[in-house]
Amino acid sequence: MYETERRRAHLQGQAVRLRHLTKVYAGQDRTVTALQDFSCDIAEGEFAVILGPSGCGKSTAIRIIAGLEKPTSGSALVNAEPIGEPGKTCSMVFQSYTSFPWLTVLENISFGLRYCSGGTKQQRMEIAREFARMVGLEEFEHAYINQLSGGMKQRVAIASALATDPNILLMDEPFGALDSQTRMAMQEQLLGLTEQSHKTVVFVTHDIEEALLLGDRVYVCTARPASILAELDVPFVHPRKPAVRNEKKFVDMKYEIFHLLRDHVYAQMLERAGE
Amino acid sequence: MNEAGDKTGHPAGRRLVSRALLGFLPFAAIAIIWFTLVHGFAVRPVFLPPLEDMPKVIWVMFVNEGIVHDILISCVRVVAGFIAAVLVATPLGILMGYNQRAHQLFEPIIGFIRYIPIPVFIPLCILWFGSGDLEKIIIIFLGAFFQLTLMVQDAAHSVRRDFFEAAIMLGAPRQALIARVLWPAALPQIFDSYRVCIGWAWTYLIVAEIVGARAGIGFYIIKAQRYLMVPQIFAAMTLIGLLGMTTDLILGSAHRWLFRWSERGSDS
Repeated sequence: MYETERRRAHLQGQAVRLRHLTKVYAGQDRTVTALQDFSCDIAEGEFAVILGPSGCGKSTAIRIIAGLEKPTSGSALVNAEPIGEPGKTCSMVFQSYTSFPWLTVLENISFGLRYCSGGTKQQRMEIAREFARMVGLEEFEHAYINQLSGGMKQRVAIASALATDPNILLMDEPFGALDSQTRMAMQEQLLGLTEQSHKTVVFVTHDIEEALLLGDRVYVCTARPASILAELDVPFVHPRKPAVRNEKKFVDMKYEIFHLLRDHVYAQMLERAGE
Repeated sequence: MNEAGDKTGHPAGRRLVSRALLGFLPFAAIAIIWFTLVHGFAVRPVFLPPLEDMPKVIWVMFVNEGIVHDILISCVRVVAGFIAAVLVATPLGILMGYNQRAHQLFEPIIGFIRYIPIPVFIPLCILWFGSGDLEKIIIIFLGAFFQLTLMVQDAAHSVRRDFFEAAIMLGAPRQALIARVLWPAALPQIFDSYRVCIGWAWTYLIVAEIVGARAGIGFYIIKAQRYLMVPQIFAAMTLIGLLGMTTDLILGSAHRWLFRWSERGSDS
């Protein structure tokens, strides 16, 4: 079932198409290969999760989609076109809190609007207010970032990214720095947001449960250099509730992925440690 | 630490008073030592004038000796030299902190010049610019500029790289990054360097005024020394200290007010 060939691309447009991507970082005393023969197709409107162990190079893949890095070889297409200047088609939520501390919540959310939609400052603030409400920060519109908790900071980042109305929302372990309760609340909120907006989302994580809860499709990565080990369709219907975690199918899939990772990835890691 | 009180539960007002008292203690200690030296050990007034005479000396300075004029002249020189240094060092430092090539271009020459002691420039500057205000301002500029450039560079360089990436991903064009990200992000630290820098400006002012001047606080000190007016030397030193402290207090509160958003601004 891992090798499921879904021909969704025929039905919907293809948002992201990566073919045989390789990325090599040449350092002074050693070179690191982050990606090797990394290929995947992400359909429009799909919530795609790239799941892999920490440090495997999955962030490199998302940074290439973002246009922040160029692959060493291979081809990468977004909306059937080569990836151009970053920030034109994709927005990104980073793991580190990247909302600007010198701006208020509203000013942060409206930051990208002046570059994509124009309009007067008044109009931009109106849009920003809408998105602040959407992520539940209407009471903190005029707060500065350092006055907020980690979860609230990431909500600002998500609102800022969505406000520019990107084709694709990229999320690089956005909840990685949050405590587990906050993370669960954020996952639920993100589910609600993406179910409404039908945006293409590419979400990077190392958390199997998070991947199954959020994703329509999960790409499991090997350890570094990352390549796709398996591709899974997640069958749970939307709107999805957090209680889906208790379903037998969910638990089964979780263990399926766990064993897959254990067999391929951890074995590889142990092998490497033994060298 | 929150503003309302510390761990011992003291209200904010009492904490402020206790902080001020604590800060006052060293002053009191110096006064006691001074008093004891003069009256207990009979140190001659020519080495150490009696402390209790100082208010009168300062009064005379203001009323009969026109020290206000000297203070104003010194302040104008400090401010002019400081502003000149800020105006040149800020853009240059930002450029060096942002652009690798600019850094490679300017770093060696600045690293070289800043190790030349500033007083060495004084004879040359007098030769080229005379011994008027211009020469003083240039000495202050030289004393502040090189250090300030490196400090601004450091501030600009330490802006988190992921802020730039975040701005780019929100659609900001590369040419907007300095104005929209680097400048606001680095400003608190740049402002801090200004604060340090104005301290040097005062030092180099006095250095410049001690060598060849016809007015200013430094000149007043040299004049006092020439006529062995020791009380006046002490009084002038006190004045310089007060002026510097006042400047620093003003800049410090400006920092807290301007950068309420920054973590450092909110917990001090």
